[in-house]
Amino acid sequence: FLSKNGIYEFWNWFDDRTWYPLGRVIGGTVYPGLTLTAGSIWWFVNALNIPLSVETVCVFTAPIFSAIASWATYLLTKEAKGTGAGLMAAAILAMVPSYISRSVAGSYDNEAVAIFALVFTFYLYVKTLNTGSLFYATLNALSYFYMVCSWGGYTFIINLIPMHVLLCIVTGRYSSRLYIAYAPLVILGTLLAALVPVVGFNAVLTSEHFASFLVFIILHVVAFVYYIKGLLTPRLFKMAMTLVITVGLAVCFAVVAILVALVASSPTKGWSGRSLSLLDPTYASKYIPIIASVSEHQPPTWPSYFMDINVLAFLVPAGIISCFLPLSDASSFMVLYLVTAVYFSGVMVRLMLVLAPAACILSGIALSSAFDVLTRSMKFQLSKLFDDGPAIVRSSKNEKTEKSEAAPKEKQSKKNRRKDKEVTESVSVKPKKEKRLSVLPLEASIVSTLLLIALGGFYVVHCVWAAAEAYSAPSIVLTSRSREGLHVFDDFREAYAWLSHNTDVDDKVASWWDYGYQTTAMANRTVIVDNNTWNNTHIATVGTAMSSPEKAAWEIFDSLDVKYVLVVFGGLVGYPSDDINKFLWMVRIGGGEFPHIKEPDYLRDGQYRVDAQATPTMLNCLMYKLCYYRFVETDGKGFDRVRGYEIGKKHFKLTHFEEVFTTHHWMVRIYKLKPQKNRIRGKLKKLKSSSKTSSTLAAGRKKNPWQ
Amino acid sequence: IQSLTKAYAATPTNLKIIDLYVVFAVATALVQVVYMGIVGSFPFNSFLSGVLSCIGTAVLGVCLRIQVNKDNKEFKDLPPERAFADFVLCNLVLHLVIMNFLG
Repeated sequence: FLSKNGIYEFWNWFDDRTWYPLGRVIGGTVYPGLTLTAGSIWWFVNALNIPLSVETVCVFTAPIFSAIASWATYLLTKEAKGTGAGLMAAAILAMVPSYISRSVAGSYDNEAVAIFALVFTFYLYVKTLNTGSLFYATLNALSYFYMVCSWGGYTFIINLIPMHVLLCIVTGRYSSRLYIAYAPLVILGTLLAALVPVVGFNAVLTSEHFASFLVFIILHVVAFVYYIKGLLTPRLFKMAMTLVITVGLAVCFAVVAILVALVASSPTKGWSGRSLSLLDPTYASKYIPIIASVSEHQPPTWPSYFMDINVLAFLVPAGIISCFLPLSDASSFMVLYLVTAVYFSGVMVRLMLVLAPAACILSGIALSSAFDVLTRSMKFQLSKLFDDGPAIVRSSKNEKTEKSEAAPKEKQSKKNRRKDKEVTESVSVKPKKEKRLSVLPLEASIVSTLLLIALGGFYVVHCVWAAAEAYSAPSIVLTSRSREGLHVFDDFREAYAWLSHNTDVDDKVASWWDYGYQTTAMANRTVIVDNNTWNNTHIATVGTAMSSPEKAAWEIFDSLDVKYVLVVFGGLVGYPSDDINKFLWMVRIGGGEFPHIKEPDYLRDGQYRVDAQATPTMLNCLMYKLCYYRFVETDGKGFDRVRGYEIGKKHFKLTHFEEVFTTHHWMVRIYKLKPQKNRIRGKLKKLKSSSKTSSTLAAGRKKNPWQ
Repeated sequence: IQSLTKAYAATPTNLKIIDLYVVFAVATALVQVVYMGIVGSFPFNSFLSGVLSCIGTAVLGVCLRIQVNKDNKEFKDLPPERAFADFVLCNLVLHLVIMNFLG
């Protein structure tokens, strides 16, 4: 759409093919960064007369940006620690599975571009901090603007940077460079953020941004104090300070009181739902079931940590230690970034992605320090072997890194203790005097180098495996291995192709929101709710419809002008993420808006069942009926392979819907709403005869007025 | 307080000019806030951009001052021309954004 109509139309585009009948104000609810980037790349490439279609550009945007993100990681780590660490971190980021999961070719989601923007913004911030140049501060603000355009996660930046500034002030590391790094960023950044339509005035109104303003004010106060200190003698300074403090505190109280009154007046205290659910992990499940239902928003388990960042998980603490060794502004920023990222990724699996660059950087630092020590020890030892003089002890680079060798040696001991017991004796020779150089004996360093390389090798193998197995399969086509080889389940595409060929262009399709984007893209039909999930009531309406008995559901769908209903059913082949498993979420979300849907009605003794012991409400609801209609005909008993038992209600007829299509493995089932028959008073016989001629359904159906 | 003014008078002239500029910018911002308090914040974006532009120029002025100040050890090897060029660049970007946001 963007390439066809240009950018101005995009801003005003009102998408009416999704979220029928509300449509969607694309300009106001979409983060434009991703689309604009892809659009501009496409335009640029076409201007060079390379004919690439828009889809190709979209598909490859993600990998290109992940490559650039790797470069940005190198820059960031170089600013924090040095080129060796930078290279290491970049290499690690290039392979980490968590990032690969979001940047496979074809994954055209916001995060592909956003992570690059995140790392680049941080790099520019650290660079400004280190050099104090206003030029980089401007670049920093522009990069922040790009981040705001791309992803809702930009609030992470706008809160992390103030926290870091505060940390620097509190630990006494205030300098004028800090001021130059932070103050222009806040002003320019807020302005630029307000430019993006999605954010708009939220940039100054919501609590998410207050931290930046607060720290801005604090920074000014501190700067002013330092300035006065430079002008006055100490005695006078004390006098001035007392005066200023009393006045300042009074003003502060007044301002804070006003702020608190403003903020407390809004029920959520000004934070948006997403941020609240991040800060308080239990918030979402209490108030907004839809956020809680997305599987990526659940807290991650320990195995998923290991799967996603693998070896980095134990290199990171080592990196933290080595960051403290010369504690500069930049390395304290790294540590802060990592700690907050760990906290937030503990709340939501999806934020593991934010943790990934932090973990990579810190592990890069750890690894490079470790390698530094090892190679230096090896060089030193080797040269000692050839030349016995103690003169070598005073080689310059050894003295510089003397302090840093103490802690890496501790890391060494932790790693080696598991592998090589003898080494622990050599570790005890810690540097007590300044001049005395502590270097690991030759065998130890060679062994540890080899082991570290082996560790890296494992990491590479794991990353490649994870990328191939877990993250590469397109989710539309499923595969499974059987004796004859790879068996492909192409049901989704089959269903969408059927939809696009056999229905009218204007027909509306209702399904659960997971399939919204796919339906719009592949079947080219209007859907009711899709993955954007911006309107909870609308989704709740669909959820209620799925949980109601047939007649009520029919009425709800009819009011939305729905013609076709689509459900995903895995019972025949054992596909576990089908609609019956998601059904409880539909009940919860529907119940959140429409109180007549109560979750306990669908559970028997608190357990979710669909077999003979299920509640009547469950057995009568639309979802059950649509999924299991004619299911007994497959194997005579109705054994559901996913749930592992026979279903409850086996033989039933649908009164308000007719089945129009079921895919080859019964995975997608499409039903059509039966049109409401015009009521003719009396004359039932006439009805029967006319309906007999027009009936095209299978024989054996009972006649009823809806037919 | 008199010692404060005495010590302040000792600062070199060009720094004082920058200080004056900063004070002017802040004063303009205050005037805008008062105006909004009186008239009401209807085109909020104009208000926002106006106030932020004032504060922005103030901040940039302070940054320039920091960089140009000869007493400041960290910026010893930063030539003042470079500092000024940076200042101009940032102001350009700032005003571009503001003008975009104003209407």
